Amino acid sequence: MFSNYFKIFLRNLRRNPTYMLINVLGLAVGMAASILIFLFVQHELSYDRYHENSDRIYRVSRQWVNQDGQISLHLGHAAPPFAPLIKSDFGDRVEEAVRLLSNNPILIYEGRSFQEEGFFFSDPEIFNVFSWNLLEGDPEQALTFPDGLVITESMARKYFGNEDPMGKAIEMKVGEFSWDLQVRGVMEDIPANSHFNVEFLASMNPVISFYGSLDQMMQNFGNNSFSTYLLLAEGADPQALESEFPAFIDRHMSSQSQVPVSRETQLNLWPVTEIHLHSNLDSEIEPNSSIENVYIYSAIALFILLIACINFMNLATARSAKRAMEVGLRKVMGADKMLLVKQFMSESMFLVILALLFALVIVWVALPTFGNFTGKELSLNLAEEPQLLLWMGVLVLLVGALAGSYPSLFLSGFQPVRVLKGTFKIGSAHEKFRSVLVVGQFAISIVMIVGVMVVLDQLNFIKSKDLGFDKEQIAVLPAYSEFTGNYEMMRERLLQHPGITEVSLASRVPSGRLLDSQGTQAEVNGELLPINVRIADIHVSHSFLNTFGMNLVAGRNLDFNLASDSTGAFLLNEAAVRAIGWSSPEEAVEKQFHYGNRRGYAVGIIEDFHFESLHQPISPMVFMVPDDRFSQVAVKLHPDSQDEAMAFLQDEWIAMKSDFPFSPFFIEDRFLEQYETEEKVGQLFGFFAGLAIVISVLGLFGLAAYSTEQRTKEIGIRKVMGASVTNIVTLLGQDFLKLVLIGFLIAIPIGWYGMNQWLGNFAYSVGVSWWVFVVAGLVAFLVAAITVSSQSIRAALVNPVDTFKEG
Amino acid sequence: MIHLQNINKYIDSRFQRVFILKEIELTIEQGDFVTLMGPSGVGKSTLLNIIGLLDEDYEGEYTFEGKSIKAMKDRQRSALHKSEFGYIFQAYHLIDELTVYENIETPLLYRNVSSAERKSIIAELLDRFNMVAKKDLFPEQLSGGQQQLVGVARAIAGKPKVLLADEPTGNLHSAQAKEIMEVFQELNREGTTIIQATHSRENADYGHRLIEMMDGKIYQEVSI
Repeated sequence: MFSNYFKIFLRNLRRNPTYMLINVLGLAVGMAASILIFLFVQHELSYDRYHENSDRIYRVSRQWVNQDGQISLHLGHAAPPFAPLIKSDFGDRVEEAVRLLSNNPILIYEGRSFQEEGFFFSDPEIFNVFSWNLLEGDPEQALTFPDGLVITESMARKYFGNEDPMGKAIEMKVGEFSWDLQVRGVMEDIPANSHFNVEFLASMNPVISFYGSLDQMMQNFGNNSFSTYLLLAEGADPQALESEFPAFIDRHMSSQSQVPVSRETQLNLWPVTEIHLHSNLDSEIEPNSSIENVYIYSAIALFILLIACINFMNLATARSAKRAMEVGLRKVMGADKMLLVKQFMSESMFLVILALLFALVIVWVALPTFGNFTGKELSLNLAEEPQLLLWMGVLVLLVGALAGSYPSLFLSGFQPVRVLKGTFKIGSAHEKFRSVLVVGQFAISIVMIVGVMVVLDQLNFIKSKDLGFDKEQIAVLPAYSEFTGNYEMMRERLLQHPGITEVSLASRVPSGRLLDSQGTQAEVNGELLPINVRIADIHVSHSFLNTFGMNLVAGRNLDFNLASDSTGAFLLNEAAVRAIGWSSPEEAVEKQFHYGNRRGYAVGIIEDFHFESLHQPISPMVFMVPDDRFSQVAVKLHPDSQDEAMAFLQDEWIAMKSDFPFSPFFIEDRFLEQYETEEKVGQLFGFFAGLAIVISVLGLFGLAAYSTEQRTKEIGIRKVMGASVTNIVTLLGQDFLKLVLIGFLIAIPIGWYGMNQWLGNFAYSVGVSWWVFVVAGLVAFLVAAITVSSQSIRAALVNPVDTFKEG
Repeated sequence: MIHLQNINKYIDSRFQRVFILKEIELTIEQGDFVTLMGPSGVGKSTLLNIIGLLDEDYEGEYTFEGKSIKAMKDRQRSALHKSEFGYIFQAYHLIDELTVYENIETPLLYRNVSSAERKSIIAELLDRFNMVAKKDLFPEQLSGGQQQLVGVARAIAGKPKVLLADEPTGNLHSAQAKEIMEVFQELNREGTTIIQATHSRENADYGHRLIEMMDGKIYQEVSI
């Protein structure tokens, strides 16, 4: 019986190649798209699950709460004393507590130096927490050596080639601080699905000496740059543990004010497996992804698959009238309903399996490109992934059943007598069902087109938005001690070159995050009041405003020749003026302002500008000249001689014999990089929206071809009665276009709501404009019109006499 | 064997009831060769469909071998339909996608006949109708007469007791028609009950009983 079904299936394939091709291809493309996205989503969801104890690993994050009880800062890092203290206080529930301190040191081996990323100072017990395998060396011992260094396989190759890395000495430079490390272990490369990448793990000893002593390090609650991870004991309740942290904090930290410290700062626990998709704190080791992206991608996959299934059902039911005769006969010959359902179901399954085979080929071809695009190493290895195989089995069954159910139930319900008599006509209920499907298909397509346009619109808006300063031609280099020590001299030297118009130092430059802040007091209505709003600080040299081209709205710029400006002058932005409660920038000038330990006056007010990406609203900021917090040099170049200026800058840089490689970045590029995720979503949307339209059009094409064929006789009669070609094209076209119109109406609220949700990620957005819908609707309408009319014009041009002969 | 008692079938339109069949009384014995005759639209096909269990929308009593059809469950009726009836159509109604061999095989598949048995039954039928050489052809590659022969072969493959034929020669020219009617006659001699509907007086001559119909009623019966 089964082979009989298969035979019929093959013969149908041969008889109706176009129909089958449209059907299989549409489904294959849809399946391929969803398999690709599945692989991506699976990868996203697999982050940090490879650790043997991944369910027991938690990250400690630290929050600051202002007096209103609002969280003013939430860091993914904590201060160095927390890990050892937690371990000693909660030894019964915390098996292990380790710290990682990220650094970008210069590593020098045999005269070659590299500035490295993925470098961490680490507690020696790190290997008890994370399942990273050592290929050489002893995980218990390697980092207990004061000069211990563990490197990955790749780094071993990079530094030592084929030589045995064990015992090799590498010189490490952090600023003017230098240390000799010895390779005590080689570990496998860290899996790509880790929320941060590690290439080097060094002993914590250099950090301790940097602090002066272990005691001093254990007193420092202010330097929150240690990634802290706990391995909880089996069965330990993280929430219960968390609830004991306030008491813990009060026990160990002394308060400067009346209120307990735990009112101002809190510790939180994050499951390590949730960091990649859920954690987006003010500091992270590496930028994480977001669950929202996973949702968007999954929704797109589902949409595409849905459209392809709809196609499949549509074409299958459309063709069912042709097969009505066969069904009627089979019934007369004794087939019962169940057998017929089975037959049509299995035909549908064959088709889906065929489509899946095509889809796998497409996936195989497209995977490298898609992997590049998503920046992940995705692989399709069916033999190694029983889960994927299972998933595909489910996909086939689901799609096959979904796509096959309606036609099979519908066909098997035919009344044989009516079919055989020839009076059989497809009922209106059936046509309605098909119409609903077409409407759904176009609604989805239009939503996706709207999605593309809104994303592109927003990206365009972001890129072209005036940030409030001149972001062009500003090169940024790390500020090391040789430079900052001789800053004024160096600046004069650089300014000699006509291509360099200004040079400035800063603790942070625009495009970075604003993470530093201190307590503020300001003179409001003649009284010095504490300010409860977080005002972020940037430490700058006097030339900062000129370098970045920001505008003063009141007061004056910092003056190098006024000695007091280096110790007691502040520049504030308009947001800070509003936050403090001054009525206007003019009022703010010359008001008393205390920041941390520094007392002075607000000398100038800067027009609001975007320091951070447009995801963030403009926060209150204060600028001041400090002594030693510079970390970056910004160099403003003349647009006409940028290349010469860069060459000159490089020569000067090398002449200073800095170990820092010359690797400047441009502010402009940094800003663009911050929208990379959105850019990706935009491209993805664009690609898949295109795909959705193509699949929908394939379906519409098949449906139009079929319905035209069904109506050849009617068309012939109408022509004999005197209908023109235009009349007939309109007659055939309007039914379909009506469906597109309804789809469009359904798409409007969905698209509007969905895209407004997405735009909510940005503090500044274009909003969803009405023309987006007009364009999306027109595109869908035009594409549908062209598809349908291509069919109906052909039918309308046929000589009616020919159609009658056949009929 | 077949006993129809006061069979009525009608359509209610807004102002009147239109009878398709009215007060049909008919008894058919095993081994009969019955011809239903009458002009188009007189109700011959409807009557055949009712006898063949393809149409259940009628009033009156139909008993088959003493059992009331109306009283049967769906499953029983479907089993009866499968085991006792074979059908032949004016337009042959072969499945275009299947070869001659496979068309004949289809009813056997639905009767769960084993593969070996199917082979021997079909071989026998092909042989009987001289179609061995054509077994792998598709219907469209055959003449009308040959297609109808396949139709007959298919109808009798399941060894039904009753063969129902609705205008079996309507699309054929006379030589082909004669061939089909001779096959019918032979089948009848072997014991198959045959009921055919036709316009053609010549065809009626092959049977034993001629039932003339008029306006949904049996007008008269003639023995031949």
